[in-house]
Amino acid sequence: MDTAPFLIELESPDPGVTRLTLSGDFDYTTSGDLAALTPTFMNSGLRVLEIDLSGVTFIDSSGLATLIHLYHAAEEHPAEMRFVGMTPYIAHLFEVTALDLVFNLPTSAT
Amino acid sequence: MESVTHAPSTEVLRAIVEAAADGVVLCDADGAVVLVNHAATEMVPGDVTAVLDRSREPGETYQTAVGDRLLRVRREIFGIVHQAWYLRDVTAEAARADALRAERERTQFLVEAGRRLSASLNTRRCARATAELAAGLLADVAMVVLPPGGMRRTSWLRSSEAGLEEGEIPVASADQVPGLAEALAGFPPVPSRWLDPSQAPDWLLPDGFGPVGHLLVTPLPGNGVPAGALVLARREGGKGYDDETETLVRVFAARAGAAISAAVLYQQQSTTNAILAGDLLPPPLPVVDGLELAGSLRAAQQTALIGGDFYDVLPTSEGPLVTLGDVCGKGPRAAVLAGQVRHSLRALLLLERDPEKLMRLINRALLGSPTPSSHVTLVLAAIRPADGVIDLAVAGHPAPLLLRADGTVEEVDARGSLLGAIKSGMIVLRTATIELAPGDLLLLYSDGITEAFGGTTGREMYGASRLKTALATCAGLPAGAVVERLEQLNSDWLAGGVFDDRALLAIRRSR
Repeated sequence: MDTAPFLIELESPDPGVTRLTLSGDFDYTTSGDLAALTPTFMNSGLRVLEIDLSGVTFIDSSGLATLIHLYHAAEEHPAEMRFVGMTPYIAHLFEVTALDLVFNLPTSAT
Repeated sequence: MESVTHAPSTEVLRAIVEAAADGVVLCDADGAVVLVNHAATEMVPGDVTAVLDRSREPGETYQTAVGDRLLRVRREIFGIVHQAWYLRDVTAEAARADALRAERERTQFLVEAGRRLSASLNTRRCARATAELAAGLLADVAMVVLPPGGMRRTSWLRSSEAGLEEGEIPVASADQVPGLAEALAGFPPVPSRWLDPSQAPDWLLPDGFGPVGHLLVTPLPGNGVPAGALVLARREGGKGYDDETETLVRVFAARAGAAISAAVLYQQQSTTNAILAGDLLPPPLPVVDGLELAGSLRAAQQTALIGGDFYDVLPTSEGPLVTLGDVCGKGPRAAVLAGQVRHSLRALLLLERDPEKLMRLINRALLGSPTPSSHVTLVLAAIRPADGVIDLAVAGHPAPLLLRADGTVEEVDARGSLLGAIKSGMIVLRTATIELAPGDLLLLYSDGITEAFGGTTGREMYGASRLKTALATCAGLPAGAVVERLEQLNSDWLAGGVFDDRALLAIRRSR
């Protein structure tokens, strides 16, 4: 099976807002990349963390664990974490794991 | 001015021949020696005619040994009737050529050793290669004694004309071979001349080997720990171990030791993995009156990536509790976590049988775990075989599918939170109670099934709807056949591609 390369784009559309755009396969082999990057954007100025998953083709339990870890890190920071991009596949995955009740999701995709 | 040309006198010619660095022997037409110069007398102190091979044609060159010298001799026609034999001492030249050849042989040996030793990560095969390589160039018999590793007995492999032999010795017997106990402890080797070959015990040698003339014992250095020892022996009358050979043996031993210790480490690692994976093997399913149970667990292909799918059927007095789950991550950590969840369930079941309460207990236990990311998805099904009633709780896991006897497929309306994930401890569970009529079947599965990538592009997920369609074709089949068919269809979809763990468990009410 060919795997889609996992990419992380980091941008700051507004002061205090950091947007993470993830794409590709977010799994056991790639989730460490995001975990390693977390300290660089969890800085003192961070108020809102936006996560765009609309380009993510696959998430496994390790990818999910990284998102949960990010959620806890934002909560502790404190910063608001919200998802701004979604696919039906990921929305379904969040529903199965009941993370849709925990995460702040865009209303349109769910 | 008058110019007169004189032929050089015989005395002048004699003086020139005497002064030549090459040996010169001059014979007349009858073959009688008429002149032997000083250099020739130096090279051949006795009868000079002994080195003259008269069968040789003029212009021909040959080599002959005189005492410990090696001479190169050339026959030539000299003047009209005389024959000359030119002699050159090539002892040093030949020694240099021998040294070069020996050096080449050593290099080739090490290249071959590197090639054979790197070909395997199996301890026995590495030890075998070491013994066989050494028995060629370095010894008449070569024995590799493997590291005891804290055991009382240790194994050896031996190569000689008798072929490859293997055996074991008590570690204490190493003391019988001079230098072996020290080598096994990793001490540097002592020169061969310090070891008394007559002390070599019988077990060191193949039957009928005869007396040992030379013994060399070298440690096989591993990654910080000794990887065993190499014992080399040559027969009495054979060539001794000179400095060059001892150096070569040490270089060879370093390579062999590295290969063997890598193999030992690899095997320890794979044994650990096999033990951990073994704990995830599906248990034999119990026989329950009124039910058919069938399961299939296909572990991910890479052994280093042991996945975390598991299932169990745990009997209680009221009927079995069926569990199927998936822990976060891969590798030994996932295997340990899966084991913990299975054992926790087994213990909790002694006090509590209600799926929802069990879920909450497991969630709290996982949140209390010091291991980060102890996330688990789980389905618990408490079955009353007498009337087919099943209490179901689903946490972070795909909902089970229900296949009715008439071929209708329903998704059980139950869902719930991933366990061990959200620190606040909040979990939401919507449980379900279903009733299996005779012939109905409940299918529990892991996301490895629905998220199997394959199809024509190799990039398409199998998905829940394909699984439902496949299940609908299984009406009337016994539980074992249903699991086998679904597993087959899913494997066809994968078409040999890489897959995650895939678990299937079917419960069918037989009457």
